[in-house]
Amino acid sequence: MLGIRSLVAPDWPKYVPGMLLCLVLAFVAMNIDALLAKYHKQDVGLATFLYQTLQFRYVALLLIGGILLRNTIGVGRVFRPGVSIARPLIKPGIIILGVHYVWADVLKVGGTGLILAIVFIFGTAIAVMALGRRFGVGDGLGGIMGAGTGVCGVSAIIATAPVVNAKPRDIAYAIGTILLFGTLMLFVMPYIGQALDVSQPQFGAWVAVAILNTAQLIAAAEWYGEEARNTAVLINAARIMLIPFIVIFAVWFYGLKSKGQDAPSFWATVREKFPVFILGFFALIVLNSLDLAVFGGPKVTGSPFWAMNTVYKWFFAVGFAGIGLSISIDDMKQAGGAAFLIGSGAATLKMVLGLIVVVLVGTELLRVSGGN
Amino acid sequence: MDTSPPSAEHPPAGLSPEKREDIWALLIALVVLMISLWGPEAVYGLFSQTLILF
Repeated sequence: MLGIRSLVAPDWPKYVPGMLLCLVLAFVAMNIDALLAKYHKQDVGLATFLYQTLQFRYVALLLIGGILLRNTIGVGRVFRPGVSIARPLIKPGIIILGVHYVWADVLKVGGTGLILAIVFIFGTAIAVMALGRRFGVGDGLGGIMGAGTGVCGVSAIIATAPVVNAKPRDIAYAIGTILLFGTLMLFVMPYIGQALDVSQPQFGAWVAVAILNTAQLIAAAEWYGEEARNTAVLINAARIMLIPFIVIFAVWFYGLKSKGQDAPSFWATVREKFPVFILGFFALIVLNSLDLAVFGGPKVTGSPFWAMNTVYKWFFAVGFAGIGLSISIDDMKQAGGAAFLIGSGAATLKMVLGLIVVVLVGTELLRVSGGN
Repeated sequence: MDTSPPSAEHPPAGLSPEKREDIWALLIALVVLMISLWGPEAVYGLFSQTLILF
């Protein structure tokens, strides 16, 4: 039986300093964003250049600022536990974003996204695992790189690692590689998208299939624009629900047993690995779709969903602060030769193919219409 | 981040970190929903006006 005590770490005070640091950084970044937006609207040249041309908004401020802080002044040990739990605060933000969608969006964009996700996930995973075997990479590293580059980066790596008996060093290499390329793509893709005049919904779909880490892809999409973010979140929701299935696939592909035990059963794996927070996201979509007066909608002034619409960005901001402060150049150097080659190949392939596919699919199938 | 995988020799006690995160996310979102139902204007005012100084 689930108890409250199992939810709260006994040493919870150690998380407070880091969480406060992320809250402060989020507060500062959101206010700088608001200030730049205000002066951009007043046509102040520097503000327009920073805010519009360079897209220097709260996302960029927190990511770049956090990375600079982490890799120059450094983040004291007392802050690190709290910083590590700040990143998952993006999850409540994603749940709350459910008020932006109606069920028709899920069927249209989610359906399109699910097909894209399935093709890219299993296609990439199969290609990476096969390449891994072809080039003599151990099944452990090959398996988790396949899962990581196919599905959802770090989560999939951690979920798959015990199934394929991945060594701790392989896990570190895989995670380092995934985070390295995720970070590079997070900064590079928005500018490529702008240069190629990719529409917002297309960009959202592009990052959702190309960037492997939920927090990073939402950061990239949020950086590009609201429509991009709405599409990215929905497609990402479809993608991460596939984590249990990629674990099952890894078991089948490698024909391995987990540490001498029988391979996990299908339903046990689904139960254990399914990202349950997504159910909250879909629950809010259902509530918004019902168009009930008690909840209103994101555009109904004075309604609960209208109020909730102002909250999610703060969760994202704290999460992005956690991401920035967590990116250590030294950690990313952990990416070993084989992991780096596999990661770079998969990342480039997904980025290029993903762009071609979303351009072919077009904007309308990927556009979220939103609630009332 | 703890990258050590759970294993048969060291089964995770209670919930996995990811499950714990997910449950906390659901609880936090539920609290936000409850507070927004109780006072939407207050929530909007706090997050759009009070916390934004400019």
